[in-house]
Amino acid sequence: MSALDHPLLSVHNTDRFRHLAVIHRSVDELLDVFAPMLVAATARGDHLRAAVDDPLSRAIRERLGAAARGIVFGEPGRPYSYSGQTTAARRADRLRDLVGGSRGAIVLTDHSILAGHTATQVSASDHRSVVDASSNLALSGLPVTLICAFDIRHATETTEHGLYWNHPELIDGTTIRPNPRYRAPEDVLAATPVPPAPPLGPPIHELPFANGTTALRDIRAWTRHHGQAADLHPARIDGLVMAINELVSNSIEHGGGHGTLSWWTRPGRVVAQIHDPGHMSTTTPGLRRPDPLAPRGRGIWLTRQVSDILHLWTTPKGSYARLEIGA
Amino acid sequence: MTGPADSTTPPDAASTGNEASFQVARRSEPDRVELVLHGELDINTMPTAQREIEAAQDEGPAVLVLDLAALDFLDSSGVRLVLLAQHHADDTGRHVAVRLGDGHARRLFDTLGVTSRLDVLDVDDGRT
Repeated sequence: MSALDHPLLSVHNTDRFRHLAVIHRSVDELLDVFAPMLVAATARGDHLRAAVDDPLSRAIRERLGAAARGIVFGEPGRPYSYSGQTTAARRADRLRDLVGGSRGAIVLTDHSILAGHTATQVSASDHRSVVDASSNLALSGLPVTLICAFDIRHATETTEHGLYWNHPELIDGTTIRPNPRYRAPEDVLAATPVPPAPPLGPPIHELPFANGTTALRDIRAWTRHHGQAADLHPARIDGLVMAINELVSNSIEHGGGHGTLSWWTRPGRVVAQIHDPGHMSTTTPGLRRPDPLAPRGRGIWLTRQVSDILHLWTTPKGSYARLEIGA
Repeated sequence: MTGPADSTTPPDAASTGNEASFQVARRSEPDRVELVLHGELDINTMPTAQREIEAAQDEGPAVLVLDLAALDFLDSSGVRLVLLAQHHADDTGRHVAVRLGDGHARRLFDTLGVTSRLDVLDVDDGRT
Protein backbone atom coordinates (compact mmCIF):
# COMPACT_ATOMS: atom_id res chain seq x y z
CA MET A 1 0.00 0.00 0.00
CA SER A 2 1.40 3.40 -0.94
CA ALA A 3 2.57 5.85 1.71
CA LEU A 4 0.49 8.45 -0.15
CA ASP A 5 -2.63 7.28 1.64
CA HIS A 6 -4.93 8.03 -1.32
CA PRO A 7 -4.19 11.76 -1.59
CA LEU A 8 -6.69 12.26 -4.37
CA LEU A 9 -9.42 10.49 -2.46
CA SER A 10 -8.92 12.65 0.60
CA VAL A 11 -9.17 15.91 -1.31
CA HIS A 12 -11.28 14.80 -4.25
CA ASN A 13 -13.76 17.38 -5.27
CA THR A 14 -16.11 16.24 -7.98
CA ASP A 15 -16.77 19.81 -9.11
CA ARG A 16 -13.22 20.79 -9.92
CA PHE A 17 -10.80 20.08 -12.72
CA ARG A 18 -7.40 19.02 -11.40
CA HIS A 19 -4.24 18.58 -13.42
CA LEU A 20 -1.31 16.82 -11.81
CA ALA A 21 2.10 15.71 -12.97
CA VAL A 22 3.63 12.59 -11.50
CA ILE A 23 7.41 12.77 -11.67
CA HIS A 24 8.96 9.32 -11.66
CA ARG A 25 12.14 7.46 -12.47
CA SER A 26 10.78 4.04 -13.28
CA VAL A 27 7.52 2.34 -14.21
CA ASP A 28 7.40 0.76 -10.76
CA GLU A 29 7.74 4.14 -9.09
CA LEU A 30 4.95 5.46 -11.30
CA LEU A 31 2.68 2.56 -10.46
CA ASP A 32 3.40 2.97 -6.75
CA VAL A 33 1.55 6.29 -7.13
CA PHE A 34 -1.07 5.27 -9.69
CA ALA A 35 -2.22 1.93 -8.42
CA PRO A 36 -3.81 3.05 -5.13
CA MET A 37 -5.34 6.07 -6.88
CA LEU A 38 -6.98 3.87 -9.46
CA VAL A 39 -8.28 1.46 -6.86
CA ALA A 40 -9.74 4.34 -4.85
CA ALA A 41 -11.29 5.92 -7.96
CA THR A 42 -12.85 2.59 -8.91
CA ALA A 43 -14.37 2.31 -5.46
CA ARG A 44 -15.74 5.83 -5.83
CA GLY A 45 -17.34 5.00 -9.17
CA ASP A 46 -15.35 7.41 -11.32
CA HIS A 47 -14.72 6.74 -14.97
CA LEU A 48 -11.14 5.69 -15.61
CA ARG A 49 -9.19 6.32 -18.77
CA ALA A 50 -5.55 5.51 -19.41
CA ALA A 51 -3.98 7.12 -22.47
CA VAL A 52 -0.67 5.32 -22.23
CA ASP A 53 1.64 3.34 -24.46
CA ASP A 54 1.50 -0.45 -24.68
CA PRO A 55 4.30 -1.26 -22.21
CA LEU A 56 2.72 0.93 -19.54
CA SER A 57 -0.77 -0.43 -20.17
CA ARG A 58 0.61 -3.96 -19.75
CA ALA A 59 2.37 -2.95 -16.55
CA ILE A 60 -0.86 -1.42 -15.19
CA ARG A 61 -2.80 -4.59 -15.95
CA GLU A 62 -0.13 -6.74 -14.32
CA ARG A 63 0.01 -4.61 -11.18
CA LEU A 64 -3.74 -4.20 -10.74
CA GLY A 65 -4.95 -7.54 -12.02
CA ALA A 66 -8.73 -7.72 -11.84
CA ALA A 67 -8.90 -4.14 -10.61
CA ALA A 68 -7.74 -2.99 -14.05
CA ARG A 69 -10.93 -4.23 -15.67
CA GLY A 70 -12.65 -0.93 -14.97
CA ILE A 71 -10.03 1.04 -16.89
CA VAL A 72 -10.69 1.99 -20.49
CA PHE A 73 -7.37 2.15 -22.29
CA GLY A 74 -7.62 4.95 -24.83
CA GLU A 75 -7.48 8.68 -25.12
CA PRO A 76 -10.63 10.77 -25.20
CA GLY A 77 -8.81 13.21 -27.46
CA ARG A 78 -8.16 10.69 -30.23
CA PRO A 79 -7.55 10.62 -33.12
CA TYR A 80 -4.37 12.64 -32.66
CA SER A 81 -3.19 15.10 -35.26
CA TYR A 82 -0.85 18.02 -35.72
CA SER A 83 -3.42 20.20 -33.95
CA GLY A 84 -2.88 20.27 -30.20
CA GLN A 85 -5.87 22.65 -29.95
CA THR A 86 -8.10 19.99 -31.49
CA THR A 87 -6.79 17.18 -29.25
CA ALA A 88 -7.48 19.18 -26.09
CA ALA A 89 -10.90 20.34 -27.26
CA ARG A 90 -12.01 16.84 -28.25
CA ARG A 91 -10.72 15.42 -24.96
CA ALA A 92 -12.89 17.95 -23.12
CA ASP A 93 -15.97 17.26 -25.23
CA ARG A 94 -15.78 13.49 -24.77
CA LEU A 95 -15.20 13.83 -21.05
CA ARG A 96 -18.04 16.35 -20.75
CA ASP A 97 -20.37 13.77 -22.29
CA LEU A 98 -19.06 11.09 -19.94
CA VAL A 99 -19.14 12.76 -16.53
CA GLY A 100 -22.16 13.86 -14.61
CA GLY A 101 -24.08 13.16 -11.45
CA SER A 102 -21.65 11.94 -8.86
CA ARG A 103 -19.26 10.37 -11.34
CA GLY A 104 -16.13 12.20 -12.29
CA ALA A 105 -13.27 10.93 -14.41
CA ILE A 106 -9.63 10.16 -13.87
CA VAL A 107 -7.48 10.31 -16.99
CA LEU A 108 -3.91 9.07 -16.91
CA THR A 109 -1.64 10.09 -19.69
CA ASP A 110 1.90 9.38 -20.61
CA HIS A 111 2.94 12.02 -23.15
CA SER A 112 4.91 9.59 -25.28
CA ILE A 113 1.64 8.62 -26.96
CA LEU A 114 1.54 12.01 -28.66
CA ALA A 115 4.83 11.26 -30.39
CA GLY A 116 4.63 11.01 -34.15
CA HIS A 117 1.72 13.42 -34.43
CA THR A 118 3.67 16.63 -34.16
CA ALA A 119 3.93 19.12 -37.00
CA THR A 120 7.46 19.33 -38.36
CA GLN A 121 8.05 22.89 -37.24
CA VAL A 122 7.35 22.08 -33.62
CA SER A 123 9.26 20.01 -31.11
CA ALA A 124 7.46 17.11 -29.50
CA SER A 125 7.86 18.87 -26.16
CA ASP A 126 6.18 22.02 -27.43
CA HIS A 127 3.33 19.99 -28.89
CA ARG A 128 2.75 18.23 -25.56
CA SER A 129 2.90 21.58 -23.82
CA VAL A 130 0.24 22.98 -26.14
CA VAL A 131 -2.02 19.98 -25.48
CA ASP A 132 -1.54 20.38 -21.73
CA ALA A 133 -2.10 24.15 -21.67
CA SER A 134 -5.11 23.88 -23.99
CA SER A 135 -6.50 21.13 -21.76
CA ASN A 136 -6.23 23.50 -18.79
CA LEU A 137 -8.64 25.78 -20.62
CA ALA A 138 -10.90 23.23 -22.23
CA LEU A 139 -11.40 21.02 -19.16
CA SER A 140 -11.93 23.87 -16.73
CA GLY A 141 -15.00 23.30 -14.60
CA LEU A 142 -15.30 19.59 -15.36
CA PRO A 143 -15.07 16.98 -12.58
CA VAL A 144 -11.99 15.48 -14.17
CA THR A 145 -8.57 14.72 -12.75
CA LEU A 146 -5.90 14.61 -15.45
CA ILE A 147 -2.69 12.93 -14.37
CA CYS A 148 0.38 13.25 -16.58
CA ALA A 149 3.33 10.95 -16.07
CA PHE A 150 6.80 12.43 -16.55
CA ASP A 151 9.82 10.16 -16.61
CA ILE A 152 12.40 12.59 -15.32
CA ARG A 153 15.25 10.43 -16.64
CA HIS A 154 14.33 11.48 -20.19
CA ALA A 155 13.51 15.12 -19.46
CA THR A 156 15.14 17.92 -21.39
CA GLU A 157 14.91 21.61 -20.68
CA THR A 158 11.90 21.93 -22.94
CA THR A 159 10.06 18.98 -21.39
CA GLU A 160 10.71 20.59 -18.04
CA HIS A 161 9.01 23.75 -19.28
CA GLY A 162 5.97 21.74 -20.25
CA LEU A 163 6.02 19.90 -16.95
CA TYR A 164 6.42 22.91 -14.68
CA TRP A 165 4.39 25.42 -16.64
CA ASN A 166 1.24 23.38 -17.18
CA HIS A 167 0.64 21.36 -14.02
CA PRO A 168 -0.74 23.20 -11.00
CA GLU A 169 0.07 20.23 -8.75
CA LEU A 170 3.00 17.84 -8.67
CA ILE A 171 3.56 14.44 -7.15
CA ASP A 172 7.23 13.64 -6.63
CA GLY A 173 7.85 10.62 -4.48
CA THR A 174 5.34 10.53 -1.72
CA THR A 175 4.01 14.06 -1.57
CA ILE A 176 1.48 16.03 -3.54
CA ARG A 177 2.27 19.73 -3.61
CA PRO A 178 1.21 22.93 -5.41
CA ASN A 179 3.57 23.91 -8.20
CA PRO A 180 4.88 27.49 -7.78
CA ARG A 181 6.15 27.56 -11.38
CA TYR A 182 2.71 26.96 -12.88
CA ARG A 183 1.76 29.44 -15.63
CA ALA A 184 -1.67 30.44 -16.84
CA PRO A 185 -2.51 28.58 -20.07
CA GLU A 186 -3.00 31.85 -21.96
CA ASP A 187 0.62 32.72 -21.19
CA VAL A 188 1.93 29.28 -22.16
CA LEU A 189 0.06 29.41 -25.46
CA ALA A 190 1.27 32.95 -26.13
CA ALA A 191 4.84 31.75 -25.61
CA THR A 192 4.42 28.73 -27.89
CA PRO A 193 3.66 29.83 -31.45
CA VAL A 194 1.05 27.72 -33.18
CA PRO A 195 2.55 25.87 -36.15
CA PRO A 196 0.77 26.17 -39.48
CA ALA A 197 -1.29 23.21 -40.61
CA PRO A 198 0.60 20.97 -43.06
CA PRO A 199 0.84 22.29 -46.64
CA LEU A 200 -1.58 20.63 -49.04
CA GLY A 201 -0.68 21.84 -52.49
CA PRO A 202 -2.96 23.98 -54.64
CA PRO A 203 -6.61 23.91 -53.57
CA ILE A 204 -9.19 22.63 -56.04
CA HIS A 205 -11.31 25.72 -55.34
CA GLU A 206 -10.37 29.15 -54.11
CA LEU A 207 -13.19 31.56 -53.32
CA PRO A 208 -12.47 35.15 -52.32
CA PHE A 209 -15.10 36.62 -50.06
CA ALA A 210 -15.95 40.06 -48.76
CA ASN A 211 -18.75 41.51 -46.74
CA GLY A 212 -21.95 42.17 -48.60
CA THR A 213 -25.68 41.68 -48.23
CA THR A 214 -25.75 38.14 -49.51
CA ALA A 215 -22.11 37.17 -48.98
CA LEU A 216 -22.71 34.61 -46.27
CA ARG A 217 -25.84 33.15 -47.82
CA ASP A 218 -23.95 32.63 -51.08
CA ILE A 219 -21.01 31.00 -49.29
CA ARG A 220 -23.34 28.68 -47.40
CA ALA A 221 -25.02 27.62 -50.65
CA TRP A 222 -21.62 27.13 -52.30
CA THR A 223 -20.40 25.07 -49.33
CA ARG A 224 -23.51 22.91 -49.26
CA HIS A 225 -23.19 22.20 -52.98
CA HIS A 226 -19.55 21.24 -52.74
CA GLY A 227 -20.03 19.25 -49.54
CA GLN A 228 -22.68 17.22 -51.35
CA ALA A 229 -20.34 16.78 -54.31
CA ALA A 230 -17.74 15.38 -51.88
CA ASP A 231 -20.27 12.76 -50.71
CA LEU A 232 -20.36 13.88 -47.11
CA HIS A 233 -23.20 12.51 -45.00
CA PRO A 234 -26.09 15.03 -44.78
CA ALA A 235 -25.59 15.56 -41.04
CA ARG A 236 -21.93 16.37 -41.59
CA ILE A 237 -22.84 18.75 -44.43
CA ASP A 238 -25.02 20.73 -42.01
CA GLY A 239 -22.02 20.95 -39.67
CA LEU A 240 -19.72 21.91 -42.54
CA VAL A 241 -22.05 24.74 -43.58
CA MET A 242 -22.28 25.95 -39.98
CA ALA A 243 -18.50 25.81 -39.56
CA ILE A 244 -17.64 27.65 -42.77
CA ASN A 245 -20.31 30.23 -41.94
CA GLU A 246 -18.87 30.90 -38.50
CA LEU A 247 -15.28 31.13 -39.72
CA VAL A 248 -16.12 33.42 -42.63
CA SER A 249 -18.32 35.55 -40.35
CA ASN A 250 -15.36 35.85 -38.02
CA SER A 251 -13.12 37.06 -40.83
CA ILE A 252 -15.73 39.58 -41.91
CA GLU A 253 -16.36 40.91 -38.41
CA HIS A 254 -12.88 40.71 -36.91
CA GLY A 255 -10.40 39.88 -39.67
CA GLY A 256 -10.51 42.89 -41.94
CA GLY A 257 -13.82 42.23 -43.69
CA HIS A 258 -12.59 39.97 -46.48
CA GLY A 259 -10.55 36.87 -47.14
CA THR A 260 -10.24 33.64 -49.09
CA LEU A 261 -11.90 30.26 -48.71
CA SER A 262 -9.71 27.43 -50.04
CA TRP A 263 -11.03 23.94 -50.60
CA TRP A 264 -9.52 20.48 -51.01
CA THR A 265 -11.16 17.10 -51.03
CA ARG A 266 -9.68 13.81 -49.94
CA PRO A 267 -11.42 10.46 -50.02
CA GLY A 268 -14.27 10.81 -47.54
CA ARG A 269 -13.11 14.18 -46.34
CA VAL A 270 -13.39 17.88 -46.96
CA VAL A 271 -10.50 20.17 -46.02
CA ALA A 272 -11.15 23.89 -46.04
CA GLN A 273 -9.03 26.83 -45.06
CA ILE A 274 -10.15 30.38 -44.37
CA HIS A 275 -7.55 33.12 -44.57
CA ASP A 276 -8.01 36.79 -43.76
CA PRO A 277 -5.52 39.62 -43.38
CA GLY A 278 -6.38 40.23 -39.75
CA HIS A 279 -4.29 39.34 -36.75
CA MET A 280 -5.87 36.81 -34.42
CA SER A 281 -5.95 38.49 -31.06
CA THR A 282 -6.55 35.40 -28.98
CA THR A 283 -4.12 32.59 -28.23
CA THR A 284 -6.98 30.39 -27.05
CA PRO A 285 -9.40 30.17 -29.97
CA GLY A 286 -12.57 28.33 -29.05
CA LEU A 287 -10.92 26.34 -26.25
CA ARG A 288 -13.05 27.46 -23.33
CA ARG A 289 -16.68 26.45 -23.29
CA PRO A 290 -18.53 29.75 -23.74
CA ASP A 291 -20.34 31.28 -20.81
CA PRO A 292 -23.96 30.52 -21.74
CA LEU A 293 -25.14 34.09 -21.08
CA ALA A 294 -22.24 36.03 -22.58
CA PRO A 295 -23.43 37.81 -25.75
CA ARG A 296 -20.30 36.91 -27.74
CA GLY A 297 -17.48 34.42 -28.02
CA ARG A 298 -19.12 31.18 -29.09
CA GLY A 299 -18.56 30.88 -32.85
CA ILE A 300 -15.17 29.16 -32.80
CA TRP A 301 -16.14 26.82 -29.98
CA LEU A 302 -19.25 25.85 -31.95
CA THR A 303 -17.13 25.20 -35.00
CA ARG A 304 -14.98 22.82 -32.98
CA GLN A 305 -18.09 20.82 -32.04
CA VAL A 306 -18.87 19.94 -35.65
CA SER A 307 -15.38 19.45 -37.06
CA ASP A 308 -12.81 16.66 -36.90
CA ILE A 309 -9.92 19.10 -36.91
CA LEU A 310 -10.00 22.84 -36.37
CA HIS A 311 -6.62 24.52 -36.25
CA LEU A 312 -6.17 28.29 -36.05
CA TRP A 313 -2.93 30.20 -36.38
CA THR A 314 -1.73 33.65 -37.24
CA THR A 315 1.31 34.95 -39.14
CA PRO A 316 2.41 38.35 -40.43
CA LYS A 317 0.33 37.50 -43.55
CA GLY A 318 -2.86 37.21 -41.52
CA SER A 319 -4.96 34.59 -39.77
CA TYR A 320 -5.74 31.07 -40.91
CA ALA A 321 -8.29 28.47 -39.93
CA ARG A 322 -7.87 24.91 -41.25
CA LEU A 323 -10.99 22.79 -40.99
CA GLU A 324 -11.39 19.08 -41.70
CA ILE A 325 -14.71 17.25 -41.74
CA GLY A 326 -15.00 13.62 -42.69
CA ALA A 327 -17.78 11.58 -44.21
CA MET B 1 -55.25 24.97 -59.62
CA THR B 2 -52.93 27.82 -58.74
CA GLY B 3 -53.84 31.41 -59.35
CA PRO B 4 -51.93 34.46 -58.25
CA ALA B 5 -49.50 33.72 -55.43
CA ASP B 6 -51.40 33.17 -52.22
CA SER B 7 -50.16 33.86 -48.73
CA THR B 8 -48.53 30.46 -48.43
CA THR B 9 -46.39 30.80 -51.52
CA PRO B 10 -42.82 31.44 -50.52
CA PRO B 11 -41.16 34.41 -52.18
CA ASP B 12 -38.84 33.65 -55.04
CA ALA B 13 -35.47 34.10 -53.41
CA ALA B 14 -33.56 34.27 -56.66
CA SER B 15 -35.58 37.15 -58.04
CA THR B 16 -35.85 39.27 -54.93
CA GLY B 17 -32.33 38.77 -53.59
CA ASN B 18 -31.68 39.36 -49.96
CA GLU B 19 -35.07 40.78 -49.13
CA ALA B 20 -36.53 37.29 -49.43
CA SER B 21 -33.77 35.59 -47.50
CA PHE B 22 -34.87 37.05 -44.19
CA GLN B 23 -38.22 38.38 -43.00
CA VAL B 24 -39.82 39.15 -39.68
CA ALA B 25 -43.56 38.89 -39.17
CA ARG B 26 -44.95 40.78 -36.20
CA ARG B 27 -48.08 39.95 -34.29
CA SER B 28 -49.21 42.31 -31.56
CA GLU B 29 -51.56 41.13 -28.84
CA PRO B 30 -52.77 42.93 -25.72
CA ASP B 31 -50.18 41.40 -23.45
CA ARG B 32 -47.36 40.64 -25.84
CA VAL B 33 -45.65 41.14 -29.14
CA GLU B 34 -44.56 38.12 -31.10
CA LEU B 35 -41.90 38.24 -33.80
CA VAL B 36 -41.69 35.27 -36.14
CA LEU B 37 -38.38 35.09 -38.01
CA HIS B 38 -38.25 33.49 -41.45
CA GLY B 39 -35.39 32.72 -43.78
CA GLU B 40 -31.73 32.86 -42.83
CA LEU B 41 -30.35 34.72 -39.82
CA ASP B 42 -26.65 35.58 -39.93
CA ILE B 43 -24.45 38.63 -39.39
CA ASN B 44 -25.70 40.10 -42.68
CA THR B 45 -29.39 39.90 -41.75
CA MET B 46 -28.97 40.42 -38.01
CA PRO B 47 -29.21 44.23 -38.27
CA THR B 48 -32.67 43.81 -39.82
CA ALA B 49 -33.67 41.46 -37.03
CA GLN B 50 -32.27 43.83 -34.42
CA ARG B 51 -34.27 46.76 -35.88
CA GLU B 52 -37.48 44.74 -35.74
CA ILE B 53 -36.79 43.75 -32.15
CA GLU B 54 -36.10 47.33 -31.15
CA ALA B 55 -39.31 48.49 -32.83
CA ALA B 56 -41.20 45.80 -30.93
CA GLN B 57 -39.50 46.78 -27.68
CA ASP B 58 -40.57 50.39 -28.29
CA GLU B 59 -44.20 49.22 -28.14
CA GLY B 60 -43.45 48.44 -24.52
CA PRO B 61 -44.98 44.97 -24.30
CA ALA B 62 -44.79 43.10 -21.04
CA VAL B 63 -43.74 40.03 -22.99
CA LEU B 64 -41.73 39.79 -26.21
CA VAL B 65 -41.77 36.40 -27.92
CA LEU B 66 -39.05 35.59 -30.45
CA ASP B 67 -39.99 32.69 -32.69
CA LEU B 68 -36.92 31.14 -34.32
CA ALA B 69 -38.55 27.81 -35.17
CA ALA B 70 -39.23 28.71 -38.81
CA LEU B 71 -35.72 29.85 -39.68
CA ASP B 72 -33.97 27.96 -42.45
CA PHE B 73 -30.61 28.87 -40.96
CA LEU B 74 -29.24 30.54 -37.88
CA ASP B 75 -25.78 30.74 -36.38
CA SER B 76 -24.19 32.04 -33.20
CA SER B 77 -25.33 35.57 -34.07
CA GLY B 78 -28.89 34.31 -33.64
CA VAL B 79 -28.04 33.22 -30.13
CA ARG B 80 -26.53 36.63 -29.53
CA LEU B 81 -29.71 38.30 -30.76
CA VAL B 82 -31.82 36.39 -28.24
CA LEU B 83 -29.42 37.04 -25.37
CA LEU B 84 -29.31 40.77 -26.11
CA ALA B 85 -33.11 40.83 -26.06
CA GLN B 86 -33.04 38.91 -22.78
CA HIS B 87 -30.61 41.40 -21.25
CA HIS B 88 -32.75 44.31 -22.41
CA ALA B 89 -35.80 42.70 -20.86
CA ASP B 90 -33.94 42.16 -17.59
CA ASP B 91 -32.85 45.79 -17.56
CA THR B 92 -36.36 47.12 -18.23
CA GLY B 93 -38.35 44.77 -16.04
CA ARG B 94 -39.99 42.95 -18.94
CA HIS B 95 -39.98 39.37 -20.16
CA VAL B 96 -38.62 37.57 -23.21
CA ALA B 97 -39.65 34.12 -24.33
CA VAL B 98 -38.51 32.12 -27.36
CA ARG B 99 -39.80 29.38 -29.59
CA LEU B 100 -37.04 27.13 -30.88
CA GLY B 101 -38.91 24.25 -32.51
CA ASP B 102 -37.36 20.81 -32.70
CA GLY B 103 -34.72 21.33 -35.34
CA HIS B 104 -31.60 23.30 -35.96
CA ALA B 105 -32.36 26.22 -33.65
CA ARG B 106 -33.09 23.96 -30.70
CA ARG B 107 -29.95 21.91 -31.27
CA LEU B 108 -27.83 25.04 -31.47
CA PHE B 109 -29.18 26.50 -28.25
CA ASP B 110 -28.87 23.12 -26.48
CA THR B 111 -25.25 22.68 -27.57
CA LEU B 112 -24.39 26.07 -26.12
CA GLY B 113 -26.16 25.37 -22.84
CA VAL B 114 -28.43 28.36 -23.40
CA THR B 115 -31.80 26.60 -23.64
CA SER B 116 -32.06 26.05 -19.91
CA ARG B 117 -31.38 29.75 -19.29
CA LEU B 118 -34.30 30.98 -21.38
CA ASP B 119 -38.07 30.78 -21.25
CA VAL B 120 -38.57 28.39 -24.16
CA LEU B 121 -42.19 27.94 -25.22
CA ASP B 122 -43.28 24.75 -26.86
CA VAL B 123 -43.74 25.27 -30.59
CA ASP B 124 -47.49 24.81 -30.36
CA ASP B 125 -47.99 26.56 -27.04
CA GLY B 126 -50.21 29.59 -27.18
CA ARG B 127 -51.05 29.30 -30.85
CA THR B 128 -54.71 29.54 -31.84
